[in-house]
Amino acid sequence: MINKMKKILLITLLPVLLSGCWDYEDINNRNIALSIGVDEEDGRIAFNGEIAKLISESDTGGTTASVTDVYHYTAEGKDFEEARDDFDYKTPFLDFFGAIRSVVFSREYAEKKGIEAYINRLSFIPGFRSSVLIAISEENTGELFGGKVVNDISVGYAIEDTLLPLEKDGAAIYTTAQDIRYNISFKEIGYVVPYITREEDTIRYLGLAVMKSSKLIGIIDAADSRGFLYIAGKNAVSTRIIPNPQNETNLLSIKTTLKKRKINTYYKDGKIYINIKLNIKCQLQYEYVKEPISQETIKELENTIANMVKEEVISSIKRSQKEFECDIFGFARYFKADNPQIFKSINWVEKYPDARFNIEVKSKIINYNLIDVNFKDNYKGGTE
Amino acid sequence: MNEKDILEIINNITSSGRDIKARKLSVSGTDIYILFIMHITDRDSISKNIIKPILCYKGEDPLNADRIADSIIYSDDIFMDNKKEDILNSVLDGNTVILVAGDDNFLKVNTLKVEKRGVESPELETALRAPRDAFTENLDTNLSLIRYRIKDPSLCIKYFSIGTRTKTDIALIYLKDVANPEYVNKLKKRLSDIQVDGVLESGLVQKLITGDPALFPEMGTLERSDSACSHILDGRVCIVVNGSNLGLVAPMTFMEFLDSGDDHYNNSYFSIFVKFLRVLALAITLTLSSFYVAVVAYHPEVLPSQYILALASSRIAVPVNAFLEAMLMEIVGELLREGSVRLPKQIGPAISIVGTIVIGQAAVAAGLVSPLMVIIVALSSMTSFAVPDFTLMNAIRLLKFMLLIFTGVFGLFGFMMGINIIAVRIASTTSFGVPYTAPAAPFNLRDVMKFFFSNAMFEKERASYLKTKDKKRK
Repeated sequence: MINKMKKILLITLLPVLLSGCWDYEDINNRNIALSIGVDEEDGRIAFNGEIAKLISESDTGGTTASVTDVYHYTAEGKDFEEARDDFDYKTPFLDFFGAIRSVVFSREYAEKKGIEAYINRLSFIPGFRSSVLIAISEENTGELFGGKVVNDISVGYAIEDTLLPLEKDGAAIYTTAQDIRYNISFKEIGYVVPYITREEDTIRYLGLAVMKSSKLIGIIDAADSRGFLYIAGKNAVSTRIIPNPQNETNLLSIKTTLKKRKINTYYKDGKIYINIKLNIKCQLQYEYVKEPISQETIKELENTIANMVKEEVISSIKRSQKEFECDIFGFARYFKADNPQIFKSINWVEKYPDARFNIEVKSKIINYNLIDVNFKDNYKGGTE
Repeated sequence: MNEKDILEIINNITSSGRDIKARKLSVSGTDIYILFIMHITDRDSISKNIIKPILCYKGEDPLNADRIADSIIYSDDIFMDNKKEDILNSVLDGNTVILVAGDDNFLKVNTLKVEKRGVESPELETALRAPRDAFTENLDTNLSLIRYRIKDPSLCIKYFSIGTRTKTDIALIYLKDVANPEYVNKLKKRLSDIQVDGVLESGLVQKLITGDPALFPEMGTLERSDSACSHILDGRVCIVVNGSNLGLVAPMTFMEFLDSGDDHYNNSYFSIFVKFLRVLALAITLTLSSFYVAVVAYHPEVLPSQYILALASSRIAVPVNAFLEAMLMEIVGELLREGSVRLPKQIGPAISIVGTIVIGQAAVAAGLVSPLMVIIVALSSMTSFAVPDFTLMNAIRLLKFMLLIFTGVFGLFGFMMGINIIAVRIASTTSFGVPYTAPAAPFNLRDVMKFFFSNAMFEKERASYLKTKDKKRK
């Protein structure tokens, strides 16, 4: 009897830990939202976005693959709840938010209202993935989602499909709802969100939107964002053109990749000190004019690259201190970890603009891509 | 017995429509009566080896049972008896009974001959690389197939006769110096305790031995004789039933049902691959359609969004909900399967074509089911054949429906609940004292490796959970 009771308990208790919710509705009878745009129009909240329009295979002849189209929705209200009601009143089926690819805020909305309220709202939407991309658009979201894009299924897909490879290549930042919630929870810091626009029916990455207290306070252009990526990006990769020190007219294409980043902090004489050590690995891709490169030139190139990266990093940090007056890199996290007691006693937001930085960049060219760097040794006889 | 007694006995046993033949011979003034059943005896042998030598007797001494047995008839299997009540049973067993007037003893000569088919290729336990001599319905043939493979003096064959009416011969086969006596004695006892009027197939013996209705088979079925020998060498006990072409083996664990036997003859790496495939096949058969329902109806968010759209668009024209769709398709799949088992071989292919076209294409084109559901049912049917022992798959096929109902009602909660019930059920099963989950639980790395690798190093040792007398295979 005891054995049986144990079995029943085990059977009923274990699934409780592993189960989800109870609502039954087939996926084809749900409104599959693909993207959400949040905006403000005349002081009222506006939701725009895309919903999947499903066409069955049998409708298209039974042999072709199913075609998935999207339609654009708009809803508005004085607050989120009213806008949501408006949305419910005019869309069929139950909502399904598990397939959302991106949530986009208009620049105007992010500047005026800030994105925190809606990010918090997202946490309570059932089925919503916290790994959804969050971005800010230059135009209002109605315009962004207003028409089709030529190079993807939908605008929502295009935003994700544009940013994801850029992030993998180390050229952009891909922020998810979860990342933003994590950043919001750390009150002392700011953060950045991808900044996009719609350009000739395609989605274009413009750079990074700088957020302070979850409100947009500035934009870092894509071209100027390298320094930021070296400090805060998961990857930081860039390709740059550098004149050959042996022959200034010849240009070298060099790919630089962040290999290692080390940040440590300390507090001395009422000032925050932050040491940043970066190891950069470089790859000589090609020369505009093919000619041998010496080992000395390689050393010189390594120094040049290290200085360039250092300049970019310093420039980014200066912007954060002077222009944005906000720790958008999240140095506060390092400082709190290194000096928890001091962190409690200081006002990081006030102290950050005066923080001192010591930046050390080491670069090493590890791949010459068949460029002969030992020409002197190889052609010794010929050069004498 | 005088002539009057003999005639009375003959009258008794040939009455009530019994097809027992009685033949009277008179030699040297002695009346001899020969009783036999013509359908189960070798009549040619009776004429040549019994009747002819008796009739040719020219001696002067009167004949008696002793003399006939010692110096007249030609037979290798003669037994002398004097219990009148055994005469009928002896004749029914296929013996020829020789009654001699004036002699209390009588002779039982084994003249049993039953029409039997030859040794053929296995139909259930097919394999690419394995001997093709499968068991037949004849016990002697089956025993000869085992005997010729295992020429070991310790190979022990114990005979039982089960069924008060059928008196079916059953042989218990094991290696005396290897098999754990606990299992042997347990099986002997359970076989001896069987009280039933007839046993016609080994499946019934299995039920009678295991007692309570068991969801998972506690005994394996054997069709290939090499497979039976392999189990005997491992230290298990085989049961062969006269009249059944499938033998039984015990004890068996869950994982052993995934071993097809010929894995041991193949490359070790391939063995690992194929074992994982079978585990996967089992999981697919059990869970695929339920998981489909759980995902489509309750938790689509577990899929990447591209798949969600593909899934939703494939189901857009389907009128029934995912649970009903899955249930109906699984039932149709099982119906087709059951139909093809019963159908004559000539019609089988036609039905499979009808099944493929009707279920595969027409149902999708008519918008009754989604293409994905067809793939799922086809896959779950196909994978159910990947596990060698059909008795285990029968249980899994039943559980598939249980899991489907649980999932249809409770979603992923029900799915997990069903999986838990199955896991608890498996874990609480034992096969003659051996935990069904061995060697995974209680865990034994060496036995697990032995199961997956099937390589020469591990083949030299017997599985520890079988607790054999002799651990080494030497």
